[in-house]
Amino acid sequence: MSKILDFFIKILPLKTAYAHCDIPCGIYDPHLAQLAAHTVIRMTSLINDVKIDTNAPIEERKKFIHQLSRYTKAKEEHAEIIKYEVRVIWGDYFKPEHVKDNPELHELVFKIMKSASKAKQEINTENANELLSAVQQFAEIFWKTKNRESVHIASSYPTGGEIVIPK
Amino acid sequence: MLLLSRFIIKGHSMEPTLLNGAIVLCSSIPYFFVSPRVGDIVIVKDNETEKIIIKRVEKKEGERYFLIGDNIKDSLDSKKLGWFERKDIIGKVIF
Repeated sequence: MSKILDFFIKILPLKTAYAHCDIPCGIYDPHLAQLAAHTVIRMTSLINDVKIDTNAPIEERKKFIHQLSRYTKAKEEHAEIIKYEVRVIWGDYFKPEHVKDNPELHELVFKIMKSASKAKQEINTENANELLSAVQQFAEIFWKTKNRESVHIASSYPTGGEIVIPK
Repeated sequence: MLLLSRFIIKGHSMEPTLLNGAIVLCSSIPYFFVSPRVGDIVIVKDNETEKIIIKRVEKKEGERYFLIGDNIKDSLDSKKLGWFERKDIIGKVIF
C-alpha cells in the first residue's frame, strides 16, 4: 500500500517553493568543499592506518577505539560539509543559463551527494578520491561561470593531490 | 487550489527544519475544514514577486497571517513583507 502511495506521490509534478533569505550575500566559493574532500581522504587513510591489537591491555584498546572514533567523526562531519557547501552553491548560485552551458552539472551534483554519503558509510579510499575529483570538477564549472580560468595546484596537505583555484 | 503537490525548497530561510533542496508534500485539503494555525508550515503566494514561498505561521489576526522563516537569523518574511491574507495561503506542508 505504501509503495502505491509512494508511486503516486512521486508522479506529482515538482514545483519550487522559495525559502528566501533576507541577505542574498552573493558570496560563494567551492573551496570549503574541496578542503572537506581532502579531509575525508585523510581520515580514511588514518582509519586504515590504525593498528588494532585485540590482545592489547584494555587501556591500550581504549586508545585505538578513541582514535578510530575521532577519525570517523571527522570523516562524517566533513562529508556532510561537502554536501552542504555543494548544495548551497547549486541551489542558490547556479542559474538556468549556467546549467544550459554546463549540462553535466545536475548529474555531477547528484554524483557528489551519493559519493559523500558513501564516504560516510564506508572506509573507501577509492570513493574518497573520486569524491575529491567530482568536487574539483564542480569547482571548475563554478569558476567557469564566473569567467575565471581555474588551475590545479599542488595542495600542501598530507593527502597530497591538488586543489582547484581561480587563476 | 492545491489538493496535493510536491515542492522543492530553494533557499535557507526554513533551516534547520527544511534544508535547501528538500522536497515537501503540500495540500490545501486540511484548510477546507480549519483555518491555518499558528505553527503550521504553509505554502503561500507572495503577491509582490508572484513567487510561491514557504514559511511558518507565527501569528494570526482574523484572516491575516504573520509568516516567518525558521531561520531567525536570515529570512525574508512578514517582518519585511508584512501580513499575508488567508486567500494567499495555498496549502499546508503535510510531509
